[in-house]
Order: sequence, then C-alpha cells, then structure tokens
Amino acid sequence: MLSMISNKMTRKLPIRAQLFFLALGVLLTGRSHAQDDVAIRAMKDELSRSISQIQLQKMEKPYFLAYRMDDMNRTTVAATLGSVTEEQPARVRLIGVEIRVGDYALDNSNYMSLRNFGGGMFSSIRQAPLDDNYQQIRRDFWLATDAQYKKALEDLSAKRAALEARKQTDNTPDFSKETPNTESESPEKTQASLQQLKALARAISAVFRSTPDIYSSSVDIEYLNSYTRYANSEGSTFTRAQPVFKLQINAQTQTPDGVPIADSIQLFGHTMADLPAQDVLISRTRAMADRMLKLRSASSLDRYNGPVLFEGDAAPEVFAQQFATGLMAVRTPLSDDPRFELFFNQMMSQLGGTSFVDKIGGRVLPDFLSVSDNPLEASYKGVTLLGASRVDDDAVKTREIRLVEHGVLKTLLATRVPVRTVPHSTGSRHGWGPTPSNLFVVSEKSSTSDDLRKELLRRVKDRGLDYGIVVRHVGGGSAASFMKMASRMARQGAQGGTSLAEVYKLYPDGHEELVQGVEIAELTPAAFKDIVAVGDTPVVFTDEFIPRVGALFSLGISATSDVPVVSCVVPSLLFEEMSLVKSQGPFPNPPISPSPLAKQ
Amino acid sequence: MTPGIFELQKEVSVNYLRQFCVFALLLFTALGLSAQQVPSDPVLTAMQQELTRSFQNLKKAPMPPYFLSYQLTDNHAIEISSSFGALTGSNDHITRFLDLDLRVGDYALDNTHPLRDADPYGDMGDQMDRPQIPLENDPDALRVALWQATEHKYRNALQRLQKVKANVQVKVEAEDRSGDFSHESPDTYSEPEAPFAFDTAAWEQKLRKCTAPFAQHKEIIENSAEVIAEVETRRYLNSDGSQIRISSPFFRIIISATAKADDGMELPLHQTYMSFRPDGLPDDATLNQDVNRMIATLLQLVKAPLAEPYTGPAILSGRASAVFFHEIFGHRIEGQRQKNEDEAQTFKKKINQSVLPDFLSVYSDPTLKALGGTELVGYYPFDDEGVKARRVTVVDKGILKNFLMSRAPIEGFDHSNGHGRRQQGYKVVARQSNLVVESAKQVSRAELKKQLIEQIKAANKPYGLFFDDIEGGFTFTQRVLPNAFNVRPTVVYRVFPDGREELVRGVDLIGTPLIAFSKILAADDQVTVFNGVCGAESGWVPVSAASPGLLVSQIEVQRKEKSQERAPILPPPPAVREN
Repeated sequence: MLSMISNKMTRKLPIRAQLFFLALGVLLTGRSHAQDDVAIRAMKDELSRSISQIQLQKMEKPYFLAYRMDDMNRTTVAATLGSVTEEQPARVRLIGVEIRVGDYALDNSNYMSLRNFGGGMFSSIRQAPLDDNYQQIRRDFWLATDAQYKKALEDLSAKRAALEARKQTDNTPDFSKETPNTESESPEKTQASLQQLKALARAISAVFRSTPDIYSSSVDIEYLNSYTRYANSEGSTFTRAQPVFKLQINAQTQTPDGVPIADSIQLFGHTMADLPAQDVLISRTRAMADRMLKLRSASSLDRYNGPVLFEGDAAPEVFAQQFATGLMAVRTPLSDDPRFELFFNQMMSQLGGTSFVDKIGGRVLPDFLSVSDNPLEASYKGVTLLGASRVDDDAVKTREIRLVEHGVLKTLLATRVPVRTVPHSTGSRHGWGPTPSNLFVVSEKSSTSDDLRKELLRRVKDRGLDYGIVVRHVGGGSAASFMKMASRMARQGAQGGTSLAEVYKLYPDGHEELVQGVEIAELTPAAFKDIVAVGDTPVVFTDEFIPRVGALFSLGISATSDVPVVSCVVPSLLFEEMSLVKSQGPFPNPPISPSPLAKQ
Repeated sequence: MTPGIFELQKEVSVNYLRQFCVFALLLFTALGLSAQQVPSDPVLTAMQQELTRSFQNLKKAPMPPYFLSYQLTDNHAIEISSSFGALTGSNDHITRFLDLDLRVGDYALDNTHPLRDADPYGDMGDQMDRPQIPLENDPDALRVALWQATEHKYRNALQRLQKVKANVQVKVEAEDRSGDFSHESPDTYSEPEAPFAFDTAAWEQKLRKCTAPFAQHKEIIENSAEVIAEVETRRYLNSDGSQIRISSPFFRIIISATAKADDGMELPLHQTYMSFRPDGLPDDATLNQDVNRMIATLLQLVKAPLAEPYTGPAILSGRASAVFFHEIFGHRIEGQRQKNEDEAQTFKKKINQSVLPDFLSVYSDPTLKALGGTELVGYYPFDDEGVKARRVTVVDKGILKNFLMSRAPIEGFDHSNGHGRRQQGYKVVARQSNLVVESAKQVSRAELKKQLIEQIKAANKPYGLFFDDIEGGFTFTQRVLPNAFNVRPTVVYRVFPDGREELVRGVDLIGTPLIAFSKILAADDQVTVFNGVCGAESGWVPVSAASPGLLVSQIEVQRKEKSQERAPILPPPPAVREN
C-alpha cells in the first residue's frame, strides 16, 4: 500500500525517489484517515467509544485503555536425516486489551490474587477474525473490553481492601506518564516459500546420514512474519512489522558410558536472505558433527578452579544467559496475602536469576566495561541485529540506554511499570515485560585473541595449574534453559545439568584438548566482576529472551507478541576465576541396538 | 465397501494366504485393476524391517520384550473456522504420529499391569519426549526414528516392570486374577491410501456465509462454525505377525451458537454433520435452513421460563436417549473397568442377568458405516491393537451378555472383541464404537406422548418433560464418587396433561444408572443417531450411539450451571463506520 510511507524505504532509496515519495506523503497526510486500514479504524473507533462510554452503574470509568492486534503468519519446517518431520504454515490474529481503572498513582495492576492466577491472567488476549471485517473486529474488542473492565473493577476494589489492611511504605505509582507517540510501518512483503524451506532443512539435516554415532539430530526452521497494530486512549498509535527468521540445527548423542553430548547451531535474521548460504551452513554442520564424534572419545575432568576464557560465540552467550537477565526492572505485585510477596521474590530469583534493582549506583562489572542497550542499530559489521525497533510495545519511542558506565550500574530497562529506582519507561517493553533489544558490551581496553590466551596461560602458571580452560560454545540458550528448568521442576530426579557444548583444555605449550561432560558449577551475575581482560573483536549472538515472569502480574498479558529476540554484541571475556565440575548423572543407558544406519 | 465383503471375511477360515487373496481379488475387481499383488508400501516395509531388527537385538538384553507393535498414523487435516460472518482460521496440517507398545514380562504379568494406588500422572512422563517422525517416506530416516522410540520405550518398560512387581507384592491379592495380555491370531488387511481433495477457498466462503446470519441478533453472544476435512491412514504392525493398513477420509461441520438470557444464563445450541464421503456434507441451502432454525430456537430459549428441579415422567428423544445410554450404560460395559478395583464395577457380576427391561437389546458394532441413512462415526475395520472389528451383543432381551474387550483380559473373558482403541499418544483401553439400542416393541411418537400424559396423571404431577436435544454429558464410574451421570439438554419442553408443550431452559438431566434403567417403560419407532467424540482413559475417540425415543417413569433434573457474568455493558458496535 503506497499510503504507508515507512522510514525503512526512505533510507534505501536514491534522492529523487525519496523526494517523489515525500511529495506523495505530503499529498496523503491531508487525508490522514486514508492511511489507516480497516483493522486500525475498527480498533480506534471501538476504543474511542469504550473510553468515553463504558461505565458500570456508578462505578469508576477507565482512565486508560490500549488495544493491540497481532497478525502472526508463521511457517514452521523441521527435518531429520534428509526427511521432513514437520511442515506447518499457520495464520492467526490475536487481540489484546489493557484497561486501567483508578489513576496513574493507584490502579488495578501490580496486584496478584488467586483469581488472577492461571486462566484469569490470560483472559485479556483472544483470537480475532482473519478477515478485515470492520464489524467483527469491533465486536471482538467490544466483548474483550467489557470482560477486562469488569475484572479491573473487581481487582482494584480487592487491591484497595488489601492496602487498608496494612501499612504501605512504597508509594511508587502503578503506571508512569509518558509522551504519546505515533509510528507506522508497512507489512513485510517477504513470504516464506514452504518448498524452499523444506529443501534447506532436508539438505542440512542430511549431513547426519553419514554419522550414525550421532543418535539424534534435527533441523528446525521458523519464519514468523508478524504485524502489530496498536492504539491507546492517550493518543499513541503504531503499526510495526517484525519478521523473524530462525534456523536451528540440533544434535545429541552419548559417549559409550552414557554421558550426554549435545550441540547446536542457532541463527536468526529478518528473512532467509540474512542467513549464510546453504553450503556454508552445511559445512558448519559438518564441523559440528565431527567435533561431537571426537567428543565421544574425549577425556573429561573432575573439577577445575581457575581462569576461564570465553571466546567467540561463548562470550555473548554467557553474557546473555547469566548477566543480561539482571538488567531488567521487575516489580513485586501486591497481594491479598502478604506472605505471597515473600514467596514471589524467591520464585522470581529461582526462575530468572536475581535482578539488579537494588544495585543502581553500585559496581556490577570491572571499571573498563560499559553496557548499553540500543534499539536504533540495525546491524553490526554487516550482521543483522534483531532487537531493532523504533517503538516498544507500549508505543514508547525507543532510544539508546546507557545501562552500565565504567562498571557502575546507572539504570535498568523498564516498561511503563515503574520501580523504586526507575520511574520512567526506557522504551523496553517487548511481549509481557521489559527485555533488552540490542545489548553492546564496550571496553576501554582490549587484547588480541593471541594476547588473551597468553594472559590465560600466564595466570594458569601463577596458580600452578596444568592447563587453562577455553569455552567456545556454551549451548542451551535462554529459551531452552527456561524450558529445561520447567521440565526439571516437573519431573523430579531428572538428569544432571547441561554440559558446555564446546570446551577445551589449553596447555602451556599451546595445544588444545576437547573436554566432554563438563559444566559450570555456579555462575551468578556477581562473577562478571571477575573479568580481567576482553578481546578486540566483538561477536553478535542472537537468541530468544523470555521477559521476567513477574511482569505477568503487571497486566503483562495484554501484548501478544511472540517471544522477543535479543542480539548481544560482546567481545571475548577472560574471567579470573570460575568453577567447572563434571556433569553428574544419572544418565540414561546408551542404546542397546546400534543405529539402523550403522555399517555392519 | 459393501457389507457383503465383511460378511465374507467372517466366514473365511483363519488362513492368511487365502484370506489375503480373496480380499485382494475382491478389492481389485472393485477397482477394475488387474494387478498381480498389492502395491508395495515403503513405509510399511521400513516399519517391518525395524520392528524385526529391534525385536531381535533386544533379545540380547537381560530382560527381552515378548511383544512389540508399531502404529503410524498419518493425518492430513484442513480446518477452517468462521464466526459471525468472518473467517477466524484456516489451517492445513500434516502430521505423522507413532504409537509404540512394548511389553516385558509375560502374558500373565507385564509392565502394563495397572499399579494400584499409584500416582495417576506417573505415566505422563512417557508422553513428553517423543521423537518427531519423518513425514516423508525415506526408509532410513523412518527407521532411525523408530529405533530411537523403541530404545526409549524399552528403558521405560523395564523400570515400570520393576514397579509392577513391587506393587503386586505389597498390595492385597487382586480380586480378578486374569492376565495382562491375551493371545490373538495375527491378521493382515490393507486398504489403498484414500485420495484427498478439498477446495479450501470455496469452503472459506461457504463458512463466512453460513455464520453471517448470527450477527443480526444481539442476544447471540458467541458463534462459530468449523469444517474439518481430513484423511487418515493408519499402519499397524506387531511381533505376532499382524500387518494392517487402513485409510479413510472424514469430513465434519460443527456449528455452535450461544445466546445469553437476561438473568445471565448462557444457552448453547449445536448442529453437527459428518461423512466419510466428500460429497456427504450438506449443501448451502441445507446449511442455511438449519442455521435459521438454530437462530429461531435460540431466540425462543432466551425468552423461555426457567425450569425447576423436578422428578417425574419424561420422554427422551432418540438423540437424548442415545447420549443417555452412552453415558449410563456404554461406559460401564468397557472391559477394563470390570477389573480395576477403583471402579464401581456396576455390571461386573451381572453376566446372564437382567439389567434392562426385556424389550430392549443393545449391541456395539464398529463394522457399521451407517444406520438408517445416517453415517456412523464409530466405524472402523480393525481396532488399535490390530484386532478385527466385529459386532458384539451386549444385552439380549434385557440380559447382559458381553463386555467390550481389548487385548487386556478380564475374569471370564479371555479374548479381545475388537474394541481396543486410543487417541494418538495414549495407551489402548476398551472403548465404545457404535452403540445401538433396539426395542422389540415400538409405538408411534404420538402414542408415546399419550402414554406420557397417562403417567403424568397417574403420578399426580402438574407436567412431564420432553428432552428433544442434548449437547453431551459425563459420568463418574469410580467407587470414590457417587456414580451419577449428567446429561446436558439444550432443548427441553414441559408437556401438560392437556397436551400443550412449553419450551423451558436451565436444567440438566441427572441420575444414577441402576435406578434409571429400571424406569424405562416404552420406546417409539424414531431411531436417531448421535455422533460425537468420547474422552476417557485412552483419550478422545469418535463414537456414535443410536436409540429410539424412550418413555421413562421417573427422571430427575437439577439446575444448570449458570454464568454469573452480566451481559455486556455497552450495546454491540455498529456494522459500519459512523461519520
């Protein structure tokens, strides 16, 4: 639709074309309503009727209302050993309603009652018709608004009662005031060709046909082309396209003793064009398979305490999994039972690590390191950054946020849900809570990779150790570890931790030995203060990033975006001290029959 | 396939080659082919190779399995849905699912033996790690997936057998000492892969049109129509030597709408159509007519008076009686319930005793594709354990004769009668198929109503009830709960002694089985079919029940569950943008 003049287009076009479109843009803004499609018009019309008219008897009217609509066009393909195991195109349209009664200081959010747990919390999103049918879209928002308004009234009244029963010391408002904002973007045109994706999945997965000692493997491809429309009662609106293409190659096997060996390659882009060519992917897969076969006969180690170098991908991986989770502001909801709040904090730290909410102004990293979150960068040295966007899920304009400066924590990433130390949104709402967008770790001093290794070996010698440790791939991933944690909780007595996928002993003479069955004993964000040197070539690592579970209680589930994807740009990291241990079993027995593919 | 073929198969002796040839000849004569043999199936070949190899290799293990079976279910489904005239979903999905049964121990005691007082979710872990089965027919990829699943299942089976042995030692002696698995002869059977064609775009339009009328009425708060077109091919192999391939398309339309009365009560109505043939679905004119009828009924229901809790005489229409029988009777004749000591075992000791009035007989027949012109969803030629389906006489002139059996024996019944069924991912258990209730004496519906009025007057009641349509029901069969049933009617009338009928709303039919049966007085001549899905221990399976209308001397109704939510505050939004 030509009426959508997107900033994306003007950046790439030559001057003459830009002027033409600019002229066209001027022509069209005269009739600004022409830019809104049927769906957005239906949303805005129902929103303005609701906010002005909805009121139950003499009770309070809402002071804020936001409508969201996500069109998710998802194509999923999976294959193993050259054969497709899954092919599913799916289209769904989800809508969400966020309604607030009371006022910015005190409203129905940030409150947890047993009624909210489970179904209650998820009732604010529902499926809507795929057709751009004006009446039907309005009907769905009408019914959703009605249900959420009634729930909001009940919640606010219960919350007020809970507050009367105790002394409240924290007067942080429930909702921050932000400047209204408007953005628009046209939908992403690139479709996924099912045939193309299947062909790619088959070609890559066929690599494992020649490695029967790798017991199971799969290639998973997903292309999610989602388009979001948003409007709220403060006057903000946006439309936004978020295409995400994901390719994952997984392989698992066991040593003859049953120790699990697992590795994966995970790549993200906006479309398939952002990924390396097929033959590059195949050779990377082969290299991974070869390494896993070597690991089956590699040695292990019992315990290691000493310096550890995270090189290449491993550095942003470990940073994303273990440090970045602390950079989000999370608010403890009020509850009718005060004991719940205690339990909540415990549960939150178990499920997502500690938050740095009380460490603002404190030292979290060595003084030569700084961290910033920048949603305005689209790429780094030719590699696409997936966290880029102009506007967050609350329609707040995004900007670069300096999180850590010279090792000192300055602020946290926040949504419009204020916390004690962060009163305003940083434009970081993605999905149900705050997440980073593109995280950059920047250092005042850096070393070449050779020098880093020399430094590692110097410290190894000082400590009187036989070797140092170099990690090149951590494995697992934040989404995967969340699922693993959840399934661990569901099945007691599960098998051990996740072994590091690619780790080496580095000897003083420079030679390396692969090590299997080793995991990091305990890694908290505090350990990152022990970084003593960093590399000079930051690497981009992109992964899914689940927002902190606590945000669900802050009316989080009114946004319907898929799991947010975050890019981290981090140089190699040399930690002065870290503990590694042998992975403990019990491990499942290796298979009794050899693979059908094994040569007799 | 004509009934003649099934009859023929019953008479042919259990001689694999002759059976196979006779069948193949008939099949190819029917298709007009002159092929020498059944075309090869690479999937079946790969399954057979891997089953044989795995079974042989596992013989080297300290506790080898004595039985192994693979069932692959290929399903291609197109689902289209709409609501109030707009398309809400359109998906085309292909899946291939593996169900694997592996037994260690022996026929008398094996790893599938139920654990008494065990954690009811203990077996769920099994369902969590399932490898993805290749959708394509590359034999190597298929074999690797089957190999992984077999190894995994074997490890779990060993663990469970240990638990079983301990459990048996620790608990009191079981009442029923029959074994865990029956001996059955292997069987072979093959249907060609059914063709599948469905015009998605045309059906999207049809569904939009079909639900548009519901949008005209503000009392109707929810509406959906769904068409599901699928073709399913099942391949089953086991270590006894059975090899079965079944393939069939299946088409369904489900239209639902809910109206809300002023007091908040939600009043649902449903209309379903199903067929095994692509041309068996209704045309636009029929759909339109039925939709208008639904709307008219809903609008009447919204204004209808609330019914009160009541006991007294009633007529259940054929559909209502069918659900009634499915819930109060059908579930209590499933074989394994007679052995499970947590179950009430209502009919366990009643073989050859009177359980129903002597004018009623009941049979379960999965080989029936249709009854009186209505197709039956509970049809299947072979069950999920590869046992041939057959008609089972459950009640003969009021006397209980048989239970529905899978390969899990029970006291007095050593063999399967082809009723072992499961939804993909679950363990097989004896389930219903097509339940048919027949009455030796029948009267017209008008005569039945006359008899109802006589009953009303004799019992000195102000009115009787007539249950015309139901949406479903549920029942409890365990000892720990009262063995009640609840059948949810959607269209109910009061019948007054002067013959006048008045639509009412707000009640569910309840009762307990033995008493309910003893009150059946008469049946009419209007046999109707209820096609649905039944959920129980082995998941959801399609079933049907057919019954004539029944006169019951005493039925009980209780208040229906009612939503406490108010009607929406604002009126519905306008259809077009105001300026």
